[in-house]
Amino acid sequence: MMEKRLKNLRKTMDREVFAQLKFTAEHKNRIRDKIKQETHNDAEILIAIMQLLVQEKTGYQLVSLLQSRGILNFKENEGSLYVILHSLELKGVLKSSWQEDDAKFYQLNKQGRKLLKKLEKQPLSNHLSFKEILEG
Amino acid sequence: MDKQRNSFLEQVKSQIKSKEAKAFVSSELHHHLNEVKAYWLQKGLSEDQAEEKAVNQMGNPISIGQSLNRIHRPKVDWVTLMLFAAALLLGFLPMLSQGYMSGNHFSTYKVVFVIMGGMIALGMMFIDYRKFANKGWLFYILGILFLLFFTRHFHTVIEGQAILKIGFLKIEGLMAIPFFLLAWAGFFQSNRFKMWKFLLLFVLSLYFFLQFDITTLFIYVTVTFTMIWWSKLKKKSIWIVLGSISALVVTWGVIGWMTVAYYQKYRVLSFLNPYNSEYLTSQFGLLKIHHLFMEAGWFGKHSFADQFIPQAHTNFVFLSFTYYYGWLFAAILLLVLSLIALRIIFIVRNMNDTYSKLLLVGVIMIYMVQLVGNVGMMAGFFPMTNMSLPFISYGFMPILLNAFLIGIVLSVYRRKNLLPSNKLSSN
Repeated sequence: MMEKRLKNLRKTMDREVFAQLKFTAEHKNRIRDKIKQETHNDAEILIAIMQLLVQEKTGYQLVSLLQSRGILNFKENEGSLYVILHSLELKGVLKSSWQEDDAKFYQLNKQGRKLLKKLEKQPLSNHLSFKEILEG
Repeated sequence: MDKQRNSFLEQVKSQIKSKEAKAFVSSELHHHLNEVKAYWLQKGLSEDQAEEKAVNQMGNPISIGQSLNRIHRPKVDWVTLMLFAAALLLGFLPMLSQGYMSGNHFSTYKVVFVIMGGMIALGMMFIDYRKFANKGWLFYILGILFLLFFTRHFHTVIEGQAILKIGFLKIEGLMAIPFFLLAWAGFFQSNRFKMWKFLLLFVLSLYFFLQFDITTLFIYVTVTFTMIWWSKLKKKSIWIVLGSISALVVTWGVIGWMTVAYYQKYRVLSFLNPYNSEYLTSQFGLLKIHHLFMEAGWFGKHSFADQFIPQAHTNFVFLSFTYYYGWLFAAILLLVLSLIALRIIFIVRNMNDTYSKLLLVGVIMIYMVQLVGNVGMMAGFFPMTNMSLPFISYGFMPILLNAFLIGIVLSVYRRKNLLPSNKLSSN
């Protein structure tokens, strides 16, 4: 009985769902990227972002610089960088200014430079999240 | 052509509650998309392909929107709100103790005042205080007009206080304070505000305030002189100006001492030397106050004290409250009222922009002067004046003024995570 039902389900799935699902080259590439991608933990990413923001930069400039540093966490996910930038700004470690063409520039402030020094000095545990680092 | 981009941005925005956050997130992402698109166009992609690439690189709009919303959603300061509610409820206790709850119009009024106070505080929370930042002049003029109107039209003078009655609402000069709080906060946050402007505006307003009771004047001067330290004016010039004003006042006081009437000297002397029996023969003085206070004990006398305490539900409400409910309740009352001040100090320490800081510093001062002043009257380090205990003293003013202050705190807290963006204020 159960057997038969499962078989039916499989048939329907084959007919309805999988028929529409195509494994495109894009999917293939994405999976390859993910495999190749070195994983960086939150602490490493945060330090990299802060180091790059010693000089004023926009989110767009930051994404490409992070990628050239081998941090690919923001590939196909560039929007999430702004989540980090906004929370750093609210934490009071970044200052920002709007310039021409709606470009928003970020830079470490005094407090931010202090935090960066602290983070660079002490080796961070791999399992800390952004939030824990910022709170601590 | 912009369809994909718009649907992406719309999806991000649909997750974000705050209107302001929607606006600045959207323009920032727009800029990012433009840059990525320009990059791909340069690489030789067609307009459409470049646009698609740019949008796809952004990632999942829903999860980005959700994370951003978590950062930027408007916040309700439950701590202040709870303390505010507790203070309002404690305000009913003096009424119970004096037997006013039984079919007296006082109790109805009290309920109306409390409801109005609550509505004012909550209403203020939803008003964006940042809109007032560049309206210092408007509030200054409104304040002056209010004082002018008030001096012309007040109906009665009760114990040296000018009062304007509208129905059962008594409007006092104290009502001008909020206008000047907003005015000075607006002036002081500006880079272009100069010291000579301050002096001119301050002296002009002082002229009007001098026609009112000493309490309002005292609150006004203390608040203004505190707020100025958070202004953009140079510290050195503030020292010089405030120093010379104080010197003037002292000289004036010394000269004045030789010319004032006896009863005025009497007031000052009895404050400076409260236990001297010569000054205590006719008045309700410190000796009596301390006697009643000690008599109360931990759990109070549970008897009505308004026969021998004057102004038992306004100026001396703390005394009559203690007499009835005892030291324990008095301590709880003081704790709740002090926690409100502490909470606001805690909030202001985490603020970054000048205007919010100025407003909150002003709020703290207005509140603290009342609290410390009223309790100080009983402790003996503050002269006997018309200083009400915030939220507790009976009357429309003590509730209205302080509900307004709480409203400002709630409004500032609500928007503390909305980045102070010069961009939004410029368009």
